[in-house]
Amino acid sequence: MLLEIKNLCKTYGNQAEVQVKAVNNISLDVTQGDFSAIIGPSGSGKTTFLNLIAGLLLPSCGEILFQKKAIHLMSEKERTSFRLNNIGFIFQNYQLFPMLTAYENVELPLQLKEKDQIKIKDRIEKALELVGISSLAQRYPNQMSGGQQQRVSIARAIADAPSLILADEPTANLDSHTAHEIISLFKKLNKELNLTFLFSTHDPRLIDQVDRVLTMSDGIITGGIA
Amino acid sequence: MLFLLKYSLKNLLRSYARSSILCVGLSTSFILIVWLLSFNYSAQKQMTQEVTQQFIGYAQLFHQEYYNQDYSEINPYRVLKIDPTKYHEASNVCGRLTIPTFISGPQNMAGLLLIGLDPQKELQNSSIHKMIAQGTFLNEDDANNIIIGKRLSKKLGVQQGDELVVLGQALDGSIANDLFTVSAIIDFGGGDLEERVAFTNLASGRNFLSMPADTFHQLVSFQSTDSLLPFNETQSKIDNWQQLLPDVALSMRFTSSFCWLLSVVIVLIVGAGVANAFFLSFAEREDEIKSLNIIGIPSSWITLSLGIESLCLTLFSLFIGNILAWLIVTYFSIHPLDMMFMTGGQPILLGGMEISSAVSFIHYPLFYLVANIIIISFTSLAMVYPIWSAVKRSKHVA
Ligand SMILES: Nc1ncnc2c1ncn2[C@@H]1O[C@H](COP(=O)(O)OP(=O)(O)O)[C@@H](O)[C@H]1O
Ligand SMILES: [Mg+2]
Repeated sequence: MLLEIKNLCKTYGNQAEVQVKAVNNISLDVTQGDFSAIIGPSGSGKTTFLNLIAGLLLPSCGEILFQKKAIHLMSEKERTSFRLNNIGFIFQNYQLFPMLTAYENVELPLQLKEKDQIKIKDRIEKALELVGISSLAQRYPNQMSGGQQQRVSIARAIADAPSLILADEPTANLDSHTAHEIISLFKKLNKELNLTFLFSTHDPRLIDQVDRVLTMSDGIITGGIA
Repeated sequence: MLFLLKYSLKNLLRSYARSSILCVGLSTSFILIVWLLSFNYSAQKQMTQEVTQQFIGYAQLFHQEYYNQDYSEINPYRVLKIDPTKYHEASNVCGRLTIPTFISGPQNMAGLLLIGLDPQKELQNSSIHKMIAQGTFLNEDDANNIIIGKRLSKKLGVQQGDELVVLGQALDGSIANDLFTVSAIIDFGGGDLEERVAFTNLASGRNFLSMPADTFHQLVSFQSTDSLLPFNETQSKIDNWQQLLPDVALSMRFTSSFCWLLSVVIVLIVGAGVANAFFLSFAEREDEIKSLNIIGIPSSWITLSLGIESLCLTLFSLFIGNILAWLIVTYFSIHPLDMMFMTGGQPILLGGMEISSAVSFIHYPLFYLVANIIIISFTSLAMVYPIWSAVKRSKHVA
């Protein structure tokens, strides 16, 4: 089992009357090679849930075990290192570094994990090829379309073949055609490299390619827990 | 490590307008500090040299009871007997007499100090002879020739060649009075000295005071205290120019302290400006720094990168600053700076005489070192808070 989530909850706010239960008692298992999507309206708790898994937020109750290790018990420093070594993160607004080229954006996290410069070069080139933008390697983010930027972001996330790829509304800023292409790319990477994906979206039209759809509303996953 | 450096530099260059402004600010402040300190140092060195070379000397040896405690009175009865062979051998030591007198001319009368000089030695050591406006400098064998200042000659209504009556008290207690001939008029640039002193040779002075041969009131050295040491005996005392001209020394110390203070103020202001600019720059990049944290980049790496970014800017600015400061100081060493622009065209009077107002700069490496060190340390210190807060905010998930 890659990821075991037990009775997870997250409450924002201290005073009882303004408390928001953003994640309310969710239990979920994720196995290596899963391709899952969390779908739910805005405010249903998708971002909170993904941030909890990434160790960016600490749960109010419950457990998150990643390969049997309890993320919620780790220190801030350990969680950062955990993200670097195990998680690939894809953002809604790509979060590329504007002064770095596509190539260098992919390179950044690799430089912290790997010493061998030849291996690094190899991985960057492979990742850029997998997402189909090898020819744009030397472009800066502002010289690329949204879809292309998201591909760079994906290359950065998958370059080191992490155990889990988390993506929070990766297609929300893209037109529906490009959005479909990005999800197809996820699917391709999932199939070819057996990468595990867990992404959120509020667009029901995107879920036709997804193996496992988790419907979320008001902090609760109401469907698809199989 | 190489990538970290590249990342930091690319960050610095992305807003190159801001970086350039910071760079200009930092290097300008460096140049200003070096310029200010060099100017002060060069001007003081030159003033000291001029003041001491002109008349007062670098150091003087005299009888320990010659001056009263606060140097406001002299006691001409306290003389020093000097071994004549030793005196003749010491070519850079000038023996002098100082005689309080009344001097009277056709129009007026004045109290002043009549200075007895050793003409040959003064010619070699001091620059008194260079200030003769009319007539010629004293000679060893003259009898009762006197050189008076331009201002005094107008006051007394005398010209070169006229005779004056000089009144005083001889060492034996009797009244000394004699006729002196004005052999030259001296120009101290209108300073007080023009009215306060007059010059004659040692022989005439001794004659006037009924003073024994080989006795002096002062021995003056124009180089250092050292050449006076062989003459120092139990009764005598050596004072340097700072002790002899305490107000001049004090004002120089004041200007030096002020320049250092000003340098620190400049650094504080520029340091605060740089810190503020980086604070804003980091705040603008908050999302980016946050996403570094999200993709698992350790805080230490982020801290280092922001630190390198600000340090590189400082070092680059200092690099430019050092070169420009060196060039500017070199320029002013070749083309002396005329201080008259600060005095509104008035001549600069110091120690009773006019001194040259053109300052040629001297390179003094210590100033560069100090300016580099204070700028690096102040900006580094000022960067602690912006970096700390940027890294701290990167850990907060909205
Ligand atoms: N930092 C926060 N402080 C307080 N409430 C928050 C915070 N973040 C999110 N929430 C609340 O938690 C709920 C879930 O938000 P979120 O996880 O962002 O949902 P989604 O990503 O599905 O839009 C919402 O009601 C939101 O207002
Ligand atoms: Mg969200």
